[in-house]
Amino acid sequence: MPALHVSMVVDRDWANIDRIRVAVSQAILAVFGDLESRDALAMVAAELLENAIKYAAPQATTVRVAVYDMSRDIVVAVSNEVSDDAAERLRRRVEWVRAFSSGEEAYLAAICEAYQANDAQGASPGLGLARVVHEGGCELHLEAREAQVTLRASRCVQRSKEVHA
Amino acid sequence: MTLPAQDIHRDNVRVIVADEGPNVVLLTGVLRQVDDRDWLAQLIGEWHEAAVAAECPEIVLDLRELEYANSAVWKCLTNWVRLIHRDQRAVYCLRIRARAGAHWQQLGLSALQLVGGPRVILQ
Repeated sequence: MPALHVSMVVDRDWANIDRIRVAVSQAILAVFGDLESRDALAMVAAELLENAIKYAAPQATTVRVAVYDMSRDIVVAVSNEVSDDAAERLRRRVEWVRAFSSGEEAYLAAICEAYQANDAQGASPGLGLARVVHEGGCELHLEAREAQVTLRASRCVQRSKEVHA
Repeated sequence: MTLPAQDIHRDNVRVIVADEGPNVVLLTGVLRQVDDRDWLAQLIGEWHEAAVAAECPEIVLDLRELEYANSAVWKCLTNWVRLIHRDQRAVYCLRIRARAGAHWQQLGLSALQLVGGPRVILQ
């Protein structure tokens, strides 16, 4: 049986990001007792939710966030409705991050890209996704079904009881 | 002293620039920016202009009490470093104080130093 399965549907409201970050932080700590995973996955949930809120289709009013464990992984999954263009941009960004041989390389490349960017270009989700991989220690998996995309970030963790055994 | 004294509360973050002593910017709490053109970018622009006008040798950015920052904040800091490099009037370095136990700060700042070179000093 999974030790953790939390599913939340939240309004597409910027103020919800930190509430979800704190909620995920507390859930991870309560179940796994692992401070490093707590901080990492709270950040992951916040970054993925932030991207979902920013880039969701105009008519989308809610975003679904799920956190669950599966085998030795903890998964943070964020689903939202997007336009075809936004789905394609997200797909390209995920592929860009996954093409690096390590999360650190992806993160450094994203920082360099931000450094070299034209001031007028503004934000792109590249750094946030690279952060999820590097700092969050996660693998990214993107699933798209019609207008709905789900981005899953999975992190391998040791259960605290196994660590302490 | 070159930076104007400030004590700004915004959402879950507080930004303090003391009115005496060295040029220290203290960030506490949870800092989240919508993008890299949000309000922090404007503050950075003001601090930069003040430092340039006074030929200030250093600005200290104290992150030790910062609980969380989103990726747009890191982009703002990256843009700050780019501004320091590209503005020939700027002679100052950015000294950043990080919390030793904050893994996320160490990772982000290591990358920032890579693009910042000697103009970014980690402490």
